[in-house]
Amino acid sequence: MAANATTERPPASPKPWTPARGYALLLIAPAIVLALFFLWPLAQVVIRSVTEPAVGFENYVRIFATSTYVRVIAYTMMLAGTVALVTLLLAYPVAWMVSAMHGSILYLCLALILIPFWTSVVIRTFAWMVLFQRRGVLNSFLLSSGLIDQPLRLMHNSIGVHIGMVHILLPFMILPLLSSMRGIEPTIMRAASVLGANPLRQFIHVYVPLTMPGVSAGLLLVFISALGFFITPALLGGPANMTIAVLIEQQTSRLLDWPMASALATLLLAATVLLYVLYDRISRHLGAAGVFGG
Amino acid sequence: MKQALPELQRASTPLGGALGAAVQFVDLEKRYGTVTALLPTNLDVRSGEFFAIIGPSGSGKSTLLGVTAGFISASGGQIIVDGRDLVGEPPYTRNIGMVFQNYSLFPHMSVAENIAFPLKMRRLPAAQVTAKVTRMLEIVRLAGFGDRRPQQLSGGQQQRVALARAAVYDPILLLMDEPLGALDKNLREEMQEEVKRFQAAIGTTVIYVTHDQQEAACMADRIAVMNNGTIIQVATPRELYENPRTNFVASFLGEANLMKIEQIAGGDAGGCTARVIGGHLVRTAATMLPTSRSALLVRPENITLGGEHDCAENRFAGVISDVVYTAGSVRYRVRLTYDFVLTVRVPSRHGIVLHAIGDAVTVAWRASDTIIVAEEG
Amino acid sequence: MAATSWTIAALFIRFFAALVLIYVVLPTFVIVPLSFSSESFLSFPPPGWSLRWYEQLAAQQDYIIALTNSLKIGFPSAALATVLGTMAALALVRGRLPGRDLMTITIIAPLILPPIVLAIALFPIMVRLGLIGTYPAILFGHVVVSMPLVFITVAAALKSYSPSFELAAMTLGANPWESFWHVTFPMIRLGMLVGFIFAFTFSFDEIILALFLTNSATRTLPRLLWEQLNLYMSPLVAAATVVILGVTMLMLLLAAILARRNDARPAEGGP
Repeated sequence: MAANATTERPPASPKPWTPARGYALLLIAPAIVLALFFLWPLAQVVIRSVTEPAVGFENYVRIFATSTYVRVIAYTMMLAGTVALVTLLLAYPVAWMVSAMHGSILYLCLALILIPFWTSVVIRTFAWMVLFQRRGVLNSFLLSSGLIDQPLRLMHNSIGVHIGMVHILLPFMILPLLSSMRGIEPTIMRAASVLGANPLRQFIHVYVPLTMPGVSAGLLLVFISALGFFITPALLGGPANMTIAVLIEQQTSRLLDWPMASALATLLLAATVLLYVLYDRISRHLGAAGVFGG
Repeated sequence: MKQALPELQRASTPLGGALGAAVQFVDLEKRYGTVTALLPTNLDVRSGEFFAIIGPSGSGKSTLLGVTAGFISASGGQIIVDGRDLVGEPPYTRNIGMVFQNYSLFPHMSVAENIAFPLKMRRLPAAQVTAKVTRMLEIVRLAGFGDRRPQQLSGGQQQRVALARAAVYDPILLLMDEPLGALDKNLREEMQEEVKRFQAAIGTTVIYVTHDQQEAACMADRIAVMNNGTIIQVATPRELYENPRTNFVASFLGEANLMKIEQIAGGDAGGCTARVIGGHLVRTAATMLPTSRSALLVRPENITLGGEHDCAENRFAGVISDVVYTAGSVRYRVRLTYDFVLTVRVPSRHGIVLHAIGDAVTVAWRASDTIIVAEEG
Repeated sequence: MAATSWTIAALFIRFFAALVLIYVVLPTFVIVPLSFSSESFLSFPPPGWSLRWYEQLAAQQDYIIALTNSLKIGFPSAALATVLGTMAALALVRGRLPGRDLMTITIIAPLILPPIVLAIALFPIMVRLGLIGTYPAILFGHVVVSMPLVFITVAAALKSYSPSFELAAMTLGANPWESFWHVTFPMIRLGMLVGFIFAFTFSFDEIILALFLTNSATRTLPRLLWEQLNLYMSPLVAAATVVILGVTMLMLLLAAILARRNDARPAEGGP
């Protein structure tokens, strides 16, 4: 056990070998792509918003001094908030039902939820246009059944935008809810019922608190996505339903006001980063990146 | 790209033939920033030895193993095998075998492919690969299982495949990291013999890391006890139990009654008397005067109840405060005056009348059963 | 008594949930019958059935070019995203890097960021690089956003088995490349394939980056659809939509089959 190095010691090797080092090198290529086509462009947007046309916060002052812009921002926030709450109300029962499923029926339901998740927003918005038109599927059905005598105005207003966006964003709510609900140990609910709580009290005092991480993750995810919505408001909404994303697009394509577009984009970016960091904290509690997985 | 692997030494080793290499750790240490995981450590493992390292989690035993295998880069020191320093070499050129706790058998390969993997990495001709794999499967008594997937085997069988895979290329050294940790108690005891038999057949040097002192005692020629990033004692299992160097070693291996020495009350040629906690005077046969901080150790099975031990130099009156019946023996807790509690273990024979809580008893033990250990920490 | 009322409540919730599921799934498929309409206006149910819109679609040069563009962009961008996403997953899951959490957040961020922000960020850069309207412009745009999809599936596959497999391979004499090729790759290849399919599906469906970064020669199918929708809606657009829908479904079915096969094999893990 004592150091009796009788054999001649070979010279000490200069570089100790670490297995983790090789893996770290793999990050170089993705980091370059990310820096070149993501971080640098975003930095340019932020910089442009405070340097063009002149150095200063002139663009931001203009945004908050222009009632149209303020109205667009307020509408976008309201829209995102309402959509997030409505999706939660619709998604919670679905997630609750699916979370108790097993086997093929579970896979079927997951497929039903995931297929629209992966379908193009253009296609799904198109479907709503087909349904909502003046002479669309819904109106012809309601007219022919005699429930109404005048076609309903479902498009080019706030209702259409809400229905379309809730539809598109529902999977973003169902999936985090599902992952938090499937993480609940059945024994906890059994313990609650043994302790004498009736089903409603069990639900309110035990089940709902346990799903709160999923609820907040879903709310944030839907809210973030809704803030940046472009296609659905542009196609289903009217002039009064302009969102920040539509406004940004207009600034660049019609008004060619890139500094203003950059300032608006910076606001959107800041809101997203803030909410995303919050989301990341919560989803870490969920312990899974399973929100997007198959 | 392929780095040259050392020649397959002892490639033609007959079963039970030449022994594995001796391993010498010289001032080996590992620091993470300011945290020291392994203090400079010196250790000689003999050729062909079955060497166990035990210690609680965080004691540095896993660090020592990781540095030896090459998963963790050493902060300093050397690992010398056959005159070659392994520190600084990547794991894949060290030619060391390792058995993992979870076996780490590749699930996408058959049993035979798993065992053949290291040979293929060494570019051995196919015929030799087949011959070696077949022989290895026979040694671990799994002939005919070569085409199965590891998942289709039982835990014990998977363990044997892991042994075969780690040894098929005649590594200079076989590392085992809690290899039996995942098995249940009965199977574990069976596998202990299996692993011993395997080592005898292969003749390789084994370093076996475990937190289970009993397992280490059953299997190892020598044991190193680690704590707080350093080796406290290296000895045979018996030596460790009977003559532990410190109070930590004493209580890590088996049950121990430790009494802190407050003062040496006197000494002669036959031993000395020490005053311990509560003012009790305890006689020990040890004549060596204890150094700065020391304690006296008495193993519970060396203490008798009821004073039938006539020549016992140490005798104290006490009251039974707890009785636990376990297979083969009864464990009493005896409270002496000044709330000093001793653990006493008495073999349980058929029909023996047990003491009850509250019984007044006399505890007794010999001076020769009282050992002086250093106080650690 | 109380028990039955709870049962009824549960039944009612299930019924409501089923309605929501119908709301999630059904509207998209309303397009399918319309694309087989015999008339040139979109009414439901169609007055008669025909394949004339599909025939017209096959004859329309615009759509053919757009479909070819979508494939020309989809496959290379998915391939590149798969390689880069896998590298990033290996580095962040297996490598011990400082600031790993922050880097993970950064890699996933493009998926979360509103696409319009990235679009107006990339446009001036691509103009400056002289790439605007070319395939590389949209390709890199799609790579950045679909890399997280591969990263997530491959990282999940990597996390599902212990790193000791790779350590074992190395003690057995495999150098890092051999260890990746013989051990890591077989365990994550299904995750990579599923990630590739997700990345392709994303690129095939993506619209906003395509609006900014392609021109009339390189425009993708979704962009062409968008342009058509802003002008008029016809069963021709419906037919084109059904084609995209069909491709997407097929891809997802493939991904689901692969993922399930993966689940059936223990210790190999999957998304």
